[in-house]
Amino acid sequence: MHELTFAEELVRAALAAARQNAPGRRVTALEVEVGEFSTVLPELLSGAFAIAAQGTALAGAALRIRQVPLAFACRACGRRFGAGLTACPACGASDVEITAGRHVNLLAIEVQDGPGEEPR
Amino acid sequence: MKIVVVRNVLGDNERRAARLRKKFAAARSLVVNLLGSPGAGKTALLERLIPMLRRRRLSVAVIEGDIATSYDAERIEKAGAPAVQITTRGVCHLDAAMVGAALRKLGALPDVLFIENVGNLVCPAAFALGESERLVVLSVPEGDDKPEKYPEAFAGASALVINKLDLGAHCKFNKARAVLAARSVNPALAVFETSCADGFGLGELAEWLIGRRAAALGLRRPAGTGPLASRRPGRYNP
Repeated sequence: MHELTFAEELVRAALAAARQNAPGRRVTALEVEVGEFSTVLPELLSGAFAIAAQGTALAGAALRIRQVPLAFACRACGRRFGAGLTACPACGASDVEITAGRHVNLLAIEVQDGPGEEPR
Repeated sequence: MKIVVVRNVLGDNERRAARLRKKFAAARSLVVNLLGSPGAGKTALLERLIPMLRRRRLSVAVIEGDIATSYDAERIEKAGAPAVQITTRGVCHLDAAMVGAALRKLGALPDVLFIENVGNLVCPAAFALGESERLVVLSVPEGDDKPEKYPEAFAGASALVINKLDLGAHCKFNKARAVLAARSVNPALAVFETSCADGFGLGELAEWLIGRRAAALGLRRPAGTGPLASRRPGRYNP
């Protein structure tokens, strides 16, 4: 429902990274991590990204999405565990924090190789 | 050439929310982000809680988020608290920038500030507003499968309020199923059961909020407040 908001922010972040590190070069791909509990659907994000990228240096760039499952860490004993349990499997405490799976992160961008660089 | 970035896509909102959180802490305000489907009873809950908190000499104000109309802000003012209405004109959630703008209209921060989010069990879960507590309201007629179907809203909450218990006789709602599903994505979730029609369970919820504010401020926690109100026998819980 709100994937366009995420796509617009993604475009802004990727353009900023490209401007800073490789000004003037076309971005060919984005590596993105989508949390299972981020409220974002990968297929909708891809469609929204294609729209948000139009007319920018990201137009036509591939969006490589990796999904990340929800993960917890126990505040009492430090044990890490996944969703599906109602308490820490090691010590039984229920005071836990979420360590992964709730955000959408831009991990990396790939830009066209510049002159004088080895193509990869 | 690959350039490593590693950046939360909603980082701007997270930073704005962090600034709001500092501001709320400096003003000693407990800020509660209220999530739930349209019609779950979010406004009705506030209409009940406002007089209870005011009787405990706490000042209360409400920021109301809706796609259109100021009906909810009018209801809140009738219940005795100042309200600022945000109409998002189609946007399905509130974000930290909208809350920041509403605060400028509100003036001084109260002891307890409720932010009633747009009625929606999906999108509001992704946007931090600087709140100290996130309450998700699930009403009995919506069905006990909602924590399984919309887990994001439950994963990020500090308390689940199961509302409209008075309609329990008319709906097949398995509380144990709903609570188990919600806790399996959020083991620390506190659970309350309420009925705004007859006031059931609202005292416990008000006491919990007062206790959370006291804990945040380092005051002594009032006695007799626990997060497991649902285990207590009562009218709907023989």
